[in-house]
Amino acid sequence: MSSRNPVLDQSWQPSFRHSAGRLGSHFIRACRSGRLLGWKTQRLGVTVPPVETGEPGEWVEVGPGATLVEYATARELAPGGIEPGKVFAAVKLDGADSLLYALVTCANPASLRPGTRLKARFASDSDAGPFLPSFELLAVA
Amino acid sequence: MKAAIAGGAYRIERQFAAGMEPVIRQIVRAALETSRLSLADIEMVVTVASDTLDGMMVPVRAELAGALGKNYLNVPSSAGHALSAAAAAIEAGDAKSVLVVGWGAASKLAHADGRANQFDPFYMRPVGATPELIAALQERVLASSGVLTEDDIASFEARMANIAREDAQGDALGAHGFCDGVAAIVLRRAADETSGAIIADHATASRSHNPLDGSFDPAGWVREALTGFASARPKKPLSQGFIEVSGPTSWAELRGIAGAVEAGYVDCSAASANSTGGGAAAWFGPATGIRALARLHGRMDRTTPDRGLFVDLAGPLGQHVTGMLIERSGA
Repeated sequence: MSSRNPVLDQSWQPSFRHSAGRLGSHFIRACRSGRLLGWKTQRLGVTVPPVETGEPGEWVEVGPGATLVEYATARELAPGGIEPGKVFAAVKLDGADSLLYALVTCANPASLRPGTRLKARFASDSDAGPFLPSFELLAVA
Repeated sequence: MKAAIAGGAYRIERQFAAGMEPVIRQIVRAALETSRLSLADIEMVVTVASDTLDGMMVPVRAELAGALGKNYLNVPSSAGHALSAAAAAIEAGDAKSVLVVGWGAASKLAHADGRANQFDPFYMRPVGATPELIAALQERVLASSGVLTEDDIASFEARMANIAREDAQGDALGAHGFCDGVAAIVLRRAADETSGAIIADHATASRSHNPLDGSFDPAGWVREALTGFASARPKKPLSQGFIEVSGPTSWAELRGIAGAVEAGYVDCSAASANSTGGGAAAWFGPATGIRALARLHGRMDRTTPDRGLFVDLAGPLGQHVTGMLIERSGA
């Protein structure tokens, strides 16, 4: 510590509780039971995750098939966020009009191309991962 | 009554070795000096700092900035919103002179980027989203759709970095432009300021994503913000107008420039935009836009063009947009 300009090093670890809201709560409960739902409105079409527009809408089943829009791998400033063998990706679920951001399991990211077909995979009860599905490459017959 | 920019000052450095406080004092004094005013002439102080980096120090640093005994407002995390609030205070007659001061210590982000706190806690953070990762993703989206090439982004980044290096004191800027900085602007009633630049119009917009398709593209947010201008859109874009966009990343700035051009306000290419260097190459937090405006004001004293558009993109992806039409006094 400098006597002229005292400096304190302090750790700061805040914790927050968030509400998912009316639509988000329903969407998350559905994900936990292995179903992917989109919220369909006249203005935005089918949004996944659901976007509240204030207008009436209805829930529709989407996926589990999806198309890769683009992906990125962690660079040097984002250590530890993504485990090896996975990439962070924008995907479009079958039946959805909006993008979903998710992890895609892929041993060789260089082989990924926009348009690559994917399939949602929900975490099993024994997994400690998030409720959102991750995606894996759809095997070509 | 419109607001005019009477003066401004800034300082950026890789890291302020003696801390932020003495630099705030220095920059406030310098901004007042360039505007030919003293602190006693200032009726209102507006501060802006990051709510993830420096928010807890706002009360202490506001006093250092000169807020004690004056009308005071803190606007977290958006230089543009703070500048817009200051201009609105003058337009509403709440103050004849406003000092806007912002600071940030983005050098801390070299180790951990706390801006991920601003992403959705249900759908973005759990899958590992970081500003860096989304920037990389968005660059690839733009490149694969043919909107921008990787060379476009690289050459723009290099030009911005060269300009930023002219400004940086001490050692070179940090990785990805993260640095420490303080910037201040003095606004006055246009009737009281004959040599300044007038804020002819201003408007803001904030988005977490594009609700139409879930994508992240500042061009759309900028177009949306500019529809909030009170004045009518010009029949013809300003062919000689400037455009300055300050954002957290180069792709966000490039898309911000595209959005302003698409909105029909300026007719300008990325190659001639951002003479101030923008914000991404010397990013000290969400107050960065004040530096760009202060630098722009200094150049307007001696260079053309007389009018143009200033856009600030705050937030880790540039989601909090402020647009300002700037005109040289008497132009």
